[in-house]
Amino acid sequence: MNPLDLYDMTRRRGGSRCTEIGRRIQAYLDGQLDADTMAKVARHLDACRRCGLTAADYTALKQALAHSSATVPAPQIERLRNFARSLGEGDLAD
Amino acid sequence: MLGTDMKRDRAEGFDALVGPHLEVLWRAARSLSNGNHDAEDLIQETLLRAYRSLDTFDGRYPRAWLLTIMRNANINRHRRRRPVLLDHADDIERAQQGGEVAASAEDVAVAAMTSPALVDALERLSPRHRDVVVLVDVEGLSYNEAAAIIGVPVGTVMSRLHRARHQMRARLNRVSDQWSNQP
Repeated sequence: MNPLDLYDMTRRRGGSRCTEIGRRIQAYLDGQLDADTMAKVARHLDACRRCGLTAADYTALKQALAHSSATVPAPQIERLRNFARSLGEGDLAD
Repeated sequence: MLGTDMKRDRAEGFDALVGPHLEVLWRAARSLSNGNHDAEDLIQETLLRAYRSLDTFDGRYPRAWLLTIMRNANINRHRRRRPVLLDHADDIERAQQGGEVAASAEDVAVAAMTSPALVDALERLSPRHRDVVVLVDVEGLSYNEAAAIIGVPVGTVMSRLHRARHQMRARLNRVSDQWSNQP
């Protein structure tokens, strides 16, 4: 077993490692960390129930917010595409 | 004066340049606007400004370029109307204008939500924190794109976003505890 995982499993609740990982959970879920740190956080979340639950909370929150987004209406996008095209065509007609 | 060939290249180039970014522009505009019609107006204004300044664009990072133009176009139109988004000065002005402020970024997102607890948690955030949640988590913009549209560094977007989610999570957990503790 990775020594860090063992440490995670035996650490006291809310220990310094949890504090350190806790600061990175959101950036981890957003994929904003470098590969090494991503792997380190992932290992901790697998091994630490408390931090794992925190990550699950944030994941659920992000998913709920993402699902609340209205779809992008295709007719409006098409109109805007035509508008962009018309700017150039107007220039050509000058 | 540009020759016909150059004009044609310019027109076709503009079409190819902005086409892939219209959906992101739409999501950003919706977060800055009061309804779809308002968002469409803002994007048209953005495209017009972009076309006029095409000759000064260096070709790098077109999405950030367009979002920055949109931000400026939005600031300009709200000088004539009212503030909707973004920073501290706007927050103050918004508070001063009280009930006269119409639906905006967060109102649109809130209206689309189905969970009253989620709506409540979002509404309780300060406007500057709510804005980043709407741009990144609801509309799916990247940190960089949100930074361009708000006009703050990426680090500020990240810190606001993390604090906002932390507050929302705490709020939702409290609500959840209240429900589970009911007899």
